[in-house]
Amino acid sequence: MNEVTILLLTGISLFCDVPSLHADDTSWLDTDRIALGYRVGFNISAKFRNLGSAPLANNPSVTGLSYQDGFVGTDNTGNAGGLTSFWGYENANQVVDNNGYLLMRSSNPGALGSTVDNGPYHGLELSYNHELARSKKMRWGIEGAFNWTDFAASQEAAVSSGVVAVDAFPLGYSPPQPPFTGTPNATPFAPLLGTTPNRLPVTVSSRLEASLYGLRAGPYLDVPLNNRMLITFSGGLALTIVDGEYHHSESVSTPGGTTMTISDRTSKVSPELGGFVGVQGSVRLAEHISVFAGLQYQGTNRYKSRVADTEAQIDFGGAIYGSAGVNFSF
Amino acid sequence: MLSCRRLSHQGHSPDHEMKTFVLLLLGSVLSSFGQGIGFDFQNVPPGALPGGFLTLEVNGVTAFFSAAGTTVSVSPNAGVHVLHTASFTGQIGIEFPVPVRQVTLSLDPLLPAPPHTAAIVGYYDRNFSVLSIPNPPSTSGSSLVYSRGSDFWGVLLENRGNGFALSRLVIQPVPPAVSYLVGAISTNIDRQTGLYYQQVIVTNSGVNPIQGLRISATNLPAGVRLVSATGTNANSGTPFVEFISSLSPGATLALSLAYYSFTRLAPSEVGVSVEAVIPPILTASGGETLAVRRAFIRPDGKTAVEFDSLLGRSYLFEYSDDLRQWKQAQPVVVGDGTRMIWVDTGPPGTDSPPSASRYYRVVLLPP
Repeated sequence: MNEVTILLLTGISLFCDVPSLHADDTSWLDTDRIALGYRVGFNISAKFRNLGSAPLANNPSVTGLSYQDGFVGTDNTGNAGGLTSFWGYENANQVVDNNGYLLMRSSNPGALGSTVDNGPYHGLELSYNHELARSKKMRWGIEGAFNWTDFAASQEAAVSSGVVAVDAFPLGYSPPQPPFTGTPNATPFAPLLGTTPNRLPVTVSSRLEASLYGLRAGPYLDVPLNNRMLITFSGGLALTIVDGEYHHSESVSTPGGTTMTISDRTSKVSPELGGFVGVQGSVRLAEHISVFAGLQYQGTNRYKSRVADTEAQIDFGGAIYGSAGVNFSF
Repeated sequence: MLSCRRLSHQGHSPDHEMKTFVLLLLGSVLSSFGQGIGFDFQNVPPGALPGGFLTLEVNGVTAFFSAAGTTVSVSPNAGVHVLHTASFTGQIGIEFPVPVRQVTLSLDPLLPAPPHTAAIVGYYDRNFSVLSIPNPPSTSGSSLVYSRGSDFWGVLLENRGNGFALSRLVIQPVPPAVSYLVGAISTNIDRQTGLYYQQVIVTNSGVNPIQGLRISATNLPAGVRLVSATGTNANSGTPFVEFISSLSPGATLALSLAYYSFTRLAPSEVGVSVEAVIPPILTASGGETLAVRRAFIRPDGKTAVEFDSLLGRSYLFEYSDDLRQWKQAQPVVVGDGTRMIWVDTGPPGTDSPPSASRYYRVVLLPP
C-alpha cells in the first residue's frame, strides 16, 4: 500500500502547500464541475482455478486417478506382464514421442497457483457534479462518473497432481484411431497398453487481461474548509463493465523430451454491479479551476471467465482507487 | 474320385504296339494327392488331347489311354494308385496334379516275364504340350530317373518292348525335401497385436518344386496357442499352419509364426517342424465384405490393418495387388467387439511379404 500512502501525502500537500495562491474568499459559488483525473486501482486480485470435469467411462483407472480423456483398466489376465487390453483414449494428440507414449489427463477442482495481484492498475476518470442544494457550511448534489482501468494479471506455476495430473503410459506402436475403447477380455489382435505410467510435471500459465469500464453515480457532499480547500464525500452505485480476455495454457514435458502445450483463450464482456464510497480533497488554483486528490473504496461482484475446464476470476471485493486531477467548475 | 471322359479328337498314332500297362504310382507327395485337391484335368486346354482317348482320374492323378476296348480298373490303396489295363495299345499320358522336375520310372519287381521295355518319351508343359525327349532311355529291368531343369506337369509313356501282355510300371516322383532354420521366439510381445513372433526359414532342398508347406508347433506351454494355425493334427492334437506357396528347388522362404500367450510371457521350448504338403485350396465361404478402417506400414515393415469388430464374429482378411484378384489371408480372426489390429507379417498368413502396393479388405463371415 505504499502507493496509497504516497497518494495521500500528495493530496495533503495539495491542500496545504499552495501559499502563493490568492484565493477569493467568496469562492465555491459554482454549482457544477467537471473533473478529469488519473485513477489508480489497488487490491484488485485475480484467481485461477481448475474446475475439473467428468471422467471418461471405466474410471477410476489402475493408477487410482480418473482421467477425462482415457482409462486404463484391468483385463481378464490381471494385466499380466504390466499390460492391459482394457484401455481407451479420446484424441489423437494424446499419442506422443513417435507413438512411444499415450498421455492421459486427470483434472480435479482446485487452485491453479496462488492469488495474483499485479497492481497498481492505471486508468482515467471523467466525472460531473451538479449541486442541488447548499447550506452555510456545506452543499450537496449528485455525481456521475465514467472511468477506465487497465487490468492485467498473469501467473505461471507448477500444478499439484491432485488438481491436474498427466500420466504417460507406455505405448510403442500406432494405436487404433480414437476414440477407442479396448476389451476387458484379452484376445489376439487386441492392442495392449502399459499400465505403469510416468507422471509428468504440469506447468500452467494463466493470463487475464481486462479493460474495466466503470460507471458510478450517487450523491455527494461538499464541505469547504476555506475559500481554497474543499472536501467532498460521495457514495453510490458502481457498475463495472469488464471486457476481459483469458488465456490458459498447460505444458508438460513428455518422457521423450517433447514439450506439449495446450492453449486456450476466451473473451467475455460482463457487467458487474457494486457500490462505492469516497472522499476527495480539492484545492482551488483559480476561480474555476482546482486540483483534487482522493480515495475511493469500491465493492463489485466478481468477474468470472471460463475456458476449457478452468476459470479466471477478478475479485473487486476490496478495491481501492486513488485519483488525482483537475476540476473545472462553472 | 473316379471319372471317365471320352474326348472327341482323332486318335494318337498307334505306331507302337502297346501291351498292357499297370501303373503303380508311389511316393510321399502322391500320398497327399488324395487329400481332396479336386484336380480335374484342369491343365488340359480344350482340344489339346488327341481324340479317341479315354481319361481316367484317380485322386487327382490322371491317366489317359489311346486304345479302344481297353479294360481299366483302378484300386487306390493307401496312396498307391494302380491302373490295370489289358490288351492295351498306344501311349499313356499321365498328368500330375503338381509340377515336378524329376520322376523315377521303374519296372515293378512283380513283373511276370520279360521282355518289358517302357520309356518316358515326353513331358507335358503347363499348356499340355508334349515336349518330346529325343532318344529316350528305356527301362529294361532297371529304374531310370527322368529329370528336367524346369517344371513339368506330366509324362508320356510308351512301351518300346515287344509282345508283353501284362506289365507293371512304377512312376515315382522324387519325394520333396525341405530344410529349415527355426529362429527364437521374440522375447518382446508385439503390443499392437498382443502376439509373439517366431521366424522360420525354409529351403527347398529337393529336386522338385514344392507347392505348399505344413509347419507344426509342438510342446506349446499351457496358455499358449499358435495363432497362425490353420488346422490341428487329428491324432496328436498338434496345431499346424498350412499354406500354398510354390517354392522352386533351392529357393528359400521366410515364415513368421504368431503365438498368443495368455500370461504374456514369451513362449519357450516350442518345437517346430516343417514338411512339404499340398494344402487345400482356400475357398471363400461367403460373408459381407467390409472396408478396413485403415492400413499402414509399421516401422518393422509389416502392415497393420485396423478394423472394427463385432464380439464373437469371425473375420477373414483378403488382399490384392490390383483390386481385381483377391486372395485370402490366414488365419480367421475372431472379433472382440472393439477396434482390432490384424498384422500382415507375410508368409504363412499371406503368400508374400507385405508391400505398400497391397490392398486389404475384410470379410465378415456368416455366424
